[in-house]
Amino acid sequence: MASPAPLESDTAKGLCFLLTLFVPFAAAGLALMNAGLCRSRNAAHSILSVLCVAAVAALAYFAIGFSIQGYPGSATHVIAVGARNWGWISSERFFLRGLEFDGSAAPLYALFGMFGVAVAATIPLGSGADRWRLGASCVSTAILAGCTYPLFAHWVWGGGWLAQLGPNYTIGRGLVDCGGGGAIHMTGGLTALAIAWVLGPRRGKYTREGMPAAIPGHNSVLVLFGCFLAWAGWLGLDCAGAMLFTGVEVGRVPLAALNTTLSAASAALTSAAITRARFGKVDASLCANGWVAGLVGVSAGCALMRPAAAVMVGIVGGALAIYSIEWLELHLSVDDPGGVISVHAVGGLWSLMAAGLLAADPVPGQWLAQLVGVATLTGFVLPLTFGLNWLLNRVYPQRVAPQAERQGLDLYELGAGAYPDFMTHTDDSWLR
Amino acid sequence: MFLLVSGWIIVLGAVALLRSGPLQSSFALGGVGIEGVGLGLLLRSHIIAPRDDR
Repeated sequence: MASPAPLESDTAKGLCFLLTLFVPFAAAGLALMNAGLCRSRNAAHSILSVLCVAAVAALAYFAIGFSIQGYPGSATHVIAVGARNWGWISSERFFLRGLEFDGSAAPLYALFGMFGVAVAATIPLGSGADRWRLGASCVSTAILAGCTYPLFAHWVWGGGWLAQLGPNYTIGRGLVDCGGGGAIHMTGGLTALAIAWVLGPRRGKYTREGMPAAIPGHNSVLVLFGCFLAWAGWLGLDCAGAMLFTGVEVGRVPLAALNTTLSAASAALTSAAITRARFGKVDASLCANGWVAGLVGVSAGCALMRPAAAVMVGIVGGALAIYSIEWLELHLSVDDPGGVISVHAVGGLWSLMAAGLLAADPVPGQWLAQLVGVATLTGFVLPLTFGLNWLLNRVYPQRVAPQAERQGLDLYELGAGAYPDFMTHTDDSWLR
Repeated sequence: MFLLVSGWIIVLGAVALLRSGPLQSSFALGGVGIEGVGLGLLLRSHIIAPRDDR
């Protein structure tokens, strides 16, 4: 959508503000899922990492991120290509200077962006679990929140060139992304892939023959409760995002909430059916990943498709997540303890395409606008985030020392375990 | 990595230089295809090879 109608009434702004306040629940849900899927000796470190990266993300976004992202209608640096202006980067001021709290919608964009980047920053912690240094994850998050995320978010949400594909080149309505399927989830998921590559697999994950060993999460209850929190967060993310970035009026907001729930529900049941059929029993962690994949899958088009289409999005998204997790682990040696690459990167890709293909009111060429968005994420954002994290790793190694993996990050980096009353585990860190 | 960026540039070129129509779509799909090849190669390059302890 090129330039969404501004939030004109105070009722709309108030509702949008309230919905935005739900967004941190998404980060909380992902935090619990990450903690439950990691080893018990890293649980406190996992939750603390989420808290720290959320803090770093908020501050980096405040200092630099919002000045790069901007909002629809804000001033933008442009490059003229064939008499058409391509907005590349916003020209807002650093440290939120110039942001007027006078009842306009601009502070709502800043607040949503700050919460959104915190959610995006939480995602890579799932793929780096059990081996990512706390300090390195904070620096990496500063790069994400201060550079990678706001740049793409400006292009799609700040009136940048992806949003202008419709008016400039009559390619659909420009890239449509109501709730952050591309800007938040695919960006976070691709960063998670870069982190998994930079860090390498956990010690003991792959045998000498290159076969993966199962390292199950330590607490399914945390993982499954995280799904409920994520649900609440996504309702805020999708509904507020739809109002802010696609100009959805108040009356259509319940459709976004309905679609979000329907997609998650169908994705979770699809995951349960697939794991039951393949393994003989329902797999709790994969069902949780399926649930979140459904939430991610509907994000981009949550307010644009009919409920039946949202069910279909969920079914496909849930199946994609399950098979993608298996493929990455078995065939591509990508050690992703939280399954976040499949859920957020693959799910985000599906989300963007589904928003173009399954919209209730299809616009000619919309699928091409969505495809350009996907191409930008894989062809620009992935190399950028991988390159920056690779460089960071050269000057500040991101992976913990081998003894830290054996001892556990709780003791090694924090000095105290999450479960001091329990004796722990057999040592599975040695190379098999 | 080079193929990823190349594919994206082809997609950008298709958007900026070609009129809407089958040719533009074809070039954009070709660019995405090149990105797919690049991503596949990148993923394969990170596969852990079996170790020989002899």
